Amino acid sequence: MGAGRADPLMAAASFLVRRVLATFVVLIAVTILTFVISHVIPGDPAQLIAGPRAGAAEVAQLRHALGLDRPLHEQYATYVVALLHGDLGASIVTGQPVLREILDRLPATIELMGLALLLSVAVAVPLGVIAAAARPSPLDTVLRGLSTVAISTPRFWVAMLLLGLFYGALQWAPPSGRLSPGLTPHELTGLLTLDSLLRGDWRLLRDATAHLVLPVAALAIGNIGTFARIIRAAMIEVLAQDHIRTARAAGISQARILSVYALRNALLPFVTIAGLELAGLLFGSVTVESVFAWPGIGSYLLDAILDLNFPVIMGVTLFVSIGYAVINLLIDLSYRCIDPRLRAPAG
Amino acid sequence: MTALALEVAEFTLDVGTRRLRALNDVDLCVGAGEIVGLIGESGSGKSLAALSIAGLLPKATGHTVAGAIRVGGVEGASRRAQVGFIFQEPMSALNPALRIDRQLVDAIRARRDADRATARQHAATLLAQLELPDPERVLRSYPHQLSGGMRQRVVIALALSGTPSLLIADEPTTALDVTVQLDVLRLIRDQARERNLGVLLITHDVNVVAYMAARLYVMYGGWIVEAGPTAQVLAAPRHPYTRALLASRPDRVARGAAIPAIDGFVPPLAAVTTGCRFADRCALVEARCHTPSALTVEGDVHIARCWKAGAGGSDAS
Ligand SMILES: Nc1ncnc2c1ncn2[C@@H]1O[C@H](COP(=O)(O)OP(=O)(O)OP(=O)(O)O)[C@@H](O)[C@H]1O
Ligand code: SF4
Ligand SMILES: [Mg+2]
Repeated sequence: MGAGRADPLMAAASFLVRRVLATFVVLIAVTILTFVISHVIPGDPAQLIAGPRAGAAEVAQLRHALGLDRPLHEQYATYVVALLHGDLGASIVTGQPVLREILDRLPATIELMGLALLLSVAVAVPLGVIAAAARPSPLDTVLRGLSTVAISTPRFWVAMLLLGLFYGALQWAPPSGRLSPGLTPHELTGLLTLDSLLRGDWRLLRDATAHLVLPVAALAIGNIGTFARIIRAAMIEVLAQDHIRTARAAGISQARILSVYALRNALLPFVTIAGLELAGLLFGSVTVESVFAWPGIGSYLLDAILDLNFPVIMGVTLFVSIGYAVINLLIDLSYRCIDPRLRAPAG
Repeated sequence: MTALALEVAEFTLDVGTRRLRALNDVDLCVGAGEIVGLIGESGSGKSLAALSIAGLLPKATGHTVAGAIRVGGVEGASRRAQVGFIFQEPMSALNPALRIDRQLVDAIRARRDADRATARQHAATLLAQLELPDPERVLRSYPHQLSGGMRQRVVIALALSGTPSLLIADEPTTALDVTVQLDVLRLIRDQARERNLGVLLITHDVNVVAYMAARLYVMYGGWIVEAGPTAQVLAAPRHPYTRALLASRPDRVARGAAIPAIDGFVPPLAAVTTGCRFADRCALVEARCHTPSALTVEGDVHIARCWKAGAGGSDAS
């Protein structure tokens, strides 16, 4: 098999290097894109900062001070050099460094999205497996109906509904934010549940969890539908393959066939498509965070867009792109864990 | 007296949502330690018979059965444990995502009480018995890291892992390199002898049957149309279908001459026929062929299902 005899470790390393290089190229493209877009979109930042009553001379002076009157390529060079020094500029609204504001808000978003992802996978995988195995049965139809409804319902609508029901009508859940007033988080990772768990602070853990339930559910519900359908389709395909019949012939139990023999093979298409769905999750977090006044990146971005706060928009876009590129890199690497044919050389 | 490895009695199978008749009144037996061939064209029902015996018919489309199947003296669902199945495609027959040791150890533990370590030890022994060099390396491998012949040996190991009474081999060598075909056949024969296993060997290839099997069944359109000792059936086929099948053996045809494929094709299950399924392809067909024919037996052992069995028989080829 040609180069198949190469040392698997070397092969993995060269794969990693190639992927990281590709990721860098993508990120450079992103900086150009955010830069160009922010300079093409109508709305003059200098005018905005100076305020509506500022005179033309005042605005021109500010534009000069901000470097906005220099040629585009020069402005881009300054922008990239600043980026390399970790300088994403300052927020037009607060005057604070964008990087610091993003880092302050990042843990809230990571906690929200991470738990939403975990919850959707944990619920969707068993649902999809059962739906595939029970086919054809009423259960299968019910699950399909449920996932269709979940897919076709916008996330912000789910968020409003959950908020209206569990806070407005039932008063079961806290309204918004990450913690009740009066509680102070432990400064460790910034993930409140993890920090309070590590510190053994059960009151804080309960409060943080109570605040997480609704936004996590609002984000996860749509994914559960999509993920369950992907798993179901992948499982149906795998269950028809010859090696499943071999496992049956060998007397391996149905539960084990489903959970190991078939699921292992169904994970590859699942991870591929689920990875694409992550963009939707990022997008959904903007609206969900806004509905629940969640102090994360999503609500930060939405505010920045409404204020035409360009340094923040550019900074967040860059950050999200990095996050997305890193996630995709991890997904690519995970293929090699899931599919041994990509990892070990053929004999 | 030990139980027969396989007894199939008046077995009938209807498949699909329309419950089309796929197997008719199949009678078949395999003794312990005996290798029996089952031949017939594509679509004649060989695989469905094999899957029925092993209890592996796919549930999705549904099916109804009548008659009896007994493997190693065991009837009903528990007969599954008595059957080892060797599949045609060694690549697709093994799970691509799991190491060989996982697949073999699971199979061994599915049929007997053993801890992982014991089962793994047993798996290594099994692979060594199947003449696989370096069993430890094979156990650590994924299927794609093995050659076709090695994979087929692993498939055989899986089939033997449950200590069955009957081995069903459905086209075990068709997908293999010519150079390893003979090795795999010899291996199956040696294992059958050593373990006193009955073997039902399904194939298109008359030469394989001639090499391996003491007795032979010929299947056509879901019916057993002829059965008997291999030498006798090959030398003096009684059913016109068997004669046509033998005439189309590539090595029997003079070099350069066209292979006389049998005209027409196996009738689809939906085709309604009364009487002989071979009637629309048979040169000897006459009016009575459209009414069901009885089995005729010659010399106690050589069976054929044809109104004119024997007529123009041995001297026709
Ligand atoms: N679920 C089903 N519904 C309808 N027809 C079926 C079904 N399963 C099998 N058949 C038909 O039954 C017939 C016998 O199929 P089978 O696979 O047993 O043939 P075979 O003798 O093994 O052929 P081959 O040599 O190609 O493997 C074929 O005509 C096939 O199309
Ligand atoms: S029964 Fe008639 S049609 Fe059928 S094989 Fe015999 S001669 Fe031919
Ligand atoms: Mg077949």
